[in-house]
Amino acid sequence: MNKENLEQVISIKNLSKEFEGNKIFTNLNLNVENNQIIAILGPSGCGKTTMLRMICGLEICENDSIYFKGQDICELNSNGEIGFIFQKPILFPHLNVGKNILLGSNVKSDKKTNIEIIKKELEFIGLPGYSKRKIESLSGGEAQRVVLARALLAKPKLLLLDEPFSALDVKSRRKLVIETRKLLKSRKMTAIHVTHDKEEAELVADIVLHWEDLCSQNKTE
Amino acid sequence: MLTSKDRTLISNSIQWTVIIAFALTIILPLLYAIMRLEAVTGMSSLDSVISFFTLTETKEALRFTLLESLFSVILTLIIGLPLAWQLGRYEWKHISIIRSLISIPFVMPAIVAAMGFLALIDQGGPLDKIGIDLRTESGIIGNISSVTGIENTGHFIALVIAHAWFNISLVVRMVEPTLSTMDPRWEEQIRLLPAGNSRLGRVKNLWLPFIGPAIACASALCFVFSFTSFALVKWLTPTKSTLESLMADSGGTAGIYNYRIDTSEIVLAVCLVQLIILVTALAITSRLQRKHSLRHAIVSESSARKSRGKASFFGKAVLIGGLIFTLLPLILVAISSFVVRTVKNGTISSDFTLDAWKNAWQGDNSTLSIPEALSNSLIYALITLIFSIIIGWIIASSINRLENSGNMKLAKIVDMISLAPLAISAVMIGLGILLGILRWNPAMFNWFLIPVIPHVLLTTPFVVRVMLPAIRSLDISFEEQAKMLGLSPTKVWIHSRLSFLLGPLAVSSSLTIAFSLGEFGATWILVRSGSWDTLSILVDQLMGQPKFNPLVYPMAMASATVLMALTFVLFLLAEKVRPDGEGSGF
Amino acid sequence: MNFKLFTLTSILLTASLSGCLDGKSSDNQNIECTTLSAGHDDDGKLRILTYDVLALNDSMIESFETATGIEIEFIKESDAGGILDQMMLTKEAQQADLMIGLDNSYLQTAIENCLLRETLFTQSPQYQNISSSSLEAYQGKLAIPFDQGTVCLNYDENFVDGENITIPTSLWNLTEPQWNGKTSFPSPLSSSPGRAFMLATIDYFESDADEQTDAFDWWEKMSENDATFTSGWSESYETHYTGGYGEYTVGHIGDSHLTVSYCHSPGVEAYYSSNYTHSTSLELPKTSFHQVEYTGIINGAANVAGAEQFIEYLLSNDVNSMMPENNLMYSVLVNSSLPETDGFRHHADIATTTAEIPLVRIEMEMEQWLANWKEATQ
Repeated sequence: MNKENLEQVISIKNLSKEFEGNKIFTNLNLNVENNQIIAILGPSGCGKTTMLRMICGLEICENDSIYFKGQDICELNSNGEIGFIFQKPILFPHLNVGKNILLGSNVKSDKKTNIEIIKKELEFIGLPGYSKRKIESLSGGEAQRVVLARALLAKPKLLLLDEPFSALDVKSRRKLVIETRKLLKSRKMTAIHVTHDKEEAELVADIVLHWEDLCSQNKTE
Repeated sequence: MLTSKDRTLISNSIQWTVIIAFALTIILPLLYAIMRLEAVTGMSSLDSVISFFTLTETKEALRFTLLESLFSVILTLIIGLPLAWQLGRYEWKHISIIRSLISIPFVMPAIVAAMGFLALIDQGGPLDKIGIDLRTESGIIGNISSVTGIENTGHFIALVIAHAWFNISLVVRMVEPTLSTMDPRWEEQIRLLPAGNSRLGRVKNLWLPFIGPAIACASALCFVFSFTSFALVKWLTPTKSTLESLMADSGGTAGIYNYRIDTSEIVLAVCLVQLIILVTALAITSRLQRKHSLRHAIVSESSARKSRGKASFFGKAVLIGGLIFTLLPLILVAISSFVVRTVKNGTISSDFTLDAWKNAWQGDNSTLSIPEALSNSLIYALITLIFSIIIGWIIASSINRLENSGNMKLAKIVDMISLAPLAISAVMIGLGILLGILRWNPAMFNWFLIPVIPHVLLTTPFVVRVMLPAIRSLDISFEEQAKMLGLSPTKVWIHSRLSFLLGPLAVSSSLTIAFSLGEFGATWILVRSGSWDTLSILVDQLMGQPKFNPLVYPMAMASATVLMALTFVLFLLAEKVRPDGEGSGF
Repeated sequence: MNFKLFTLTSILLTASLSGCLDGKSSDNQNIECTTLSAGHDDDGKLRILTYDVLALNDSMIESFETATGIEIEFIKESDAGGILDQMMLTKEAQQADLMIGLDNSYLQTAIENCLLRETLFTQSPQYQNISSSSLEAYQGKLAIPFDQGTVCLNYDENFVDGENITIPTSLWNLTEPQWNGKTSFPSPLSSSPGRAFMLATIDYFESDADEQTDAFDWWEKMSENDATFTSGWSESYETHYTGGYGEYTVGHIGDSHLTVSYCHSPGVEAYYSSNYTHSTSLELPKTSFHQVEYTGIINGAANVAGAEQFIEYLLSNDVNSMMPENNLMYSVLVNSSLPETDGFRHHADIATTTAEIPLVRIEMEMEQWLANWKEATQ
């Protein structure tokens, strides 16, 4: 392992994925360096989500293709080092906003400290006083913000975002995208943000990559 | 440190162990019992089935069982369909309460129902007061009896009504949701077409295809429950036997070499024939259930109801009649526990008194007190609960897992295994344990917890039925998200599975406890005397005592009332936690 | 599958046949019975297997418990048949110590199947106080008689008064149209009075002039004449019979004017109704049967000592002389009789000629008779 590799949070070489005999993508190559926010732009259904899921271990892993900080991903256990934000906000309905956020904290602390943590995070994402609110009462945008706060609280080394704003209206989306970039940058996050929206990609990322450049697609014709 | 691969392997192994152990617990005792009976009677199973159709006793029992089951189904539909219709089509305030009340009979212990109907048909009871004497068959019933030439018609009618009482909730719970979510425009449109011009046309072209499967499915289940009914047959038609009651009566002496071989022959023959019939009936039911679960729900229930508005006066009358029918026997049980008939100078007087309650609460040398029987019932129920929930949950999870991984055939097999105890009646399960396990290892007669085995077998199918749809509907994203947050496997399980299943867990727990408390057939076979009596058995025992002590009858009613109250409370708890709008049945 | 089942069955059959061939030949009176070890641990309690024997009332039990310090627990069956069934069922692991209630129609089966063990009571002085009539059927050490009575047909004088329905002079009268649906019999399969009566009919029809017909022809005709068959005595007497106390009980149907009970039952009715009854016994030779009920220590009992003490208690002068009042049966002690109170003795009938069948014959042919009875009454 040399110094150059350590700078690379994610290094993917020649990754392919098949599903029921059909190749989804082949020869995918991607390098992500520390503190970088990469956006990957591509049409829906091309395999971007699958790639993200493979990176964080939600899909069956291919040996010797994906390296996380120099280690083969197949040998790692999921321990919160890689965070994932789904397309629709996954908030646990049996917990209120505050408790949902607290799930991201893997440090045991007392009640008082917890309240402080929640307060801080809520302010950070611009939803002060929302601690005791029920999940069902949140709008789509508010929900994704809570998800973001929770994900950041876990202090992952890498954050994967799977089209998290696609369900929102244009106006809210724009606002939220800009805020997200601010949040990610302020916490010096490394992130891979996947989307089909050009404007979104350009607003959020340091570097915008095109899916066709990253891999060979399966042409179904 | 276990990898997720290891964890999956361990959990899969546990699942398969549980499934196989469950299947063996169903099959082995029965198989062993059959083998023993074959040895004792010297007949093979085939010979036995053939001999079934030569013995008068068994033929009579089959005839009677088929007759009462068929009539029960018909009467259930006659009462249940109008109820389902009214309930499903129109707007009702407090509909969830109405639904709950109508479902009460189904969870009630059979012995309580038997007591309720005995009180209903008794001389001086409500039916007798309006001229319908089903007990001694005077008046109208006597005329019907002499016209049809059927002995004890009154008792038969009482039995059929009791079965209908038990099963209307099946019809309502299955048909009503289908009706209430149908798009009203379908009806409007078909009225304009030539096919839907007449009522008959509409029935043929709209209603039958639409609610037909639900009705068929409910009928099949109703048939199975009436077929294997025991407590009601025992008390309402004591002079007649069904296959189940014949097996129960003969069961105590079966399987002993050179002793009452005739009972062994009967038990073997009846057991095999009943198995064949039930397996067939349940195969048909599962076919129908698949058809039925093709949801036609196109509109939300509330909007469909709103478009039709409130029920007419007739509709309200139907519903109120249905509710009275549901509650009357139970109310009578409670009232009867306070009434003591004494003879003073040759005249019968009825006094309202707490004497029966006092006696029943204390018990005496020969009968258990209510608190003792109650604690037996509760101990059995709670231990049953632990096993049934764990086993049922594991089975439901594995069915879901197999379905998700595409292994549909295997999933189906496991599903059938979970339902198998329903194909084996309660008495058969009890006999299987009696003849299969106890004769093989008589020391187990000393084992207090023996009745738990049949209780677990008989309640686990319901746990699976309740948990499976809930588990199927779990969104895997929650599990994935929890994993991504770096939560421990336990925490992942708690937040992404357990917290979503608390409702179904509560429902299946209540049902399990209620069914265990009320279980009669298998418990009767295994625990008929002595200090292990459950409340159900106590009621039966008390009723079996000679009645020159006028307190005996109300004491039995008092015990039945306690059982009824307990079941009622559990049921209400389950209904409270059941998510609203999920009107569909088991 | 069939072949496997066949093989399995053959193996089992051979195994079981070899097992059942030793010591079961019915002409061998002296069967070798081994004393079985206790079926459960002795916890000091005395477990009594019985049916609803009235004599075992609360005060009687409590005085025994107080005097001896032994706690009693009952295992109650519904009738005498149930007692035998239960003992057969749990033969290898007996749950009870003492049985009370098998009568002379069930006893031999229990003895042949080694279900009882010898009691020391036969050596006790009180044993000499037992009347010879009580010991006539069985005098051995395996069972001690504790009460007796004569099983008789009872009829309701309000209906069977010679005008509406004639008093039968032969059992065949009961198969006539005037008796259609008006008779009720407890089943010999499960009820001991029912079984006793069936035995009486066997002797009755064997002793009559007609050699063509036997008891089961008569039972068949009774079944065709819509006789009611119940599993227990109390259901027949209480629910169906109009002549007894059943009139006042819940659930009374009252469709039968003749039933099987004891010849002294009208006495019991009078005893409880201030010297009034409209029930009486049918005086017909060989339609009654002397029944003796026994108690015995179960083979495989844990608390043998306690069982012995209870037998002594049950046969003591204090307890046994009160059999008529407490148990509505005759005592087995010499010089005992029914009380005069409220016409108990006055209304009790005494059978002139009872039917008789030797105990050994009962044991040999009972299974066949029961099968015949079942067949006849289907």
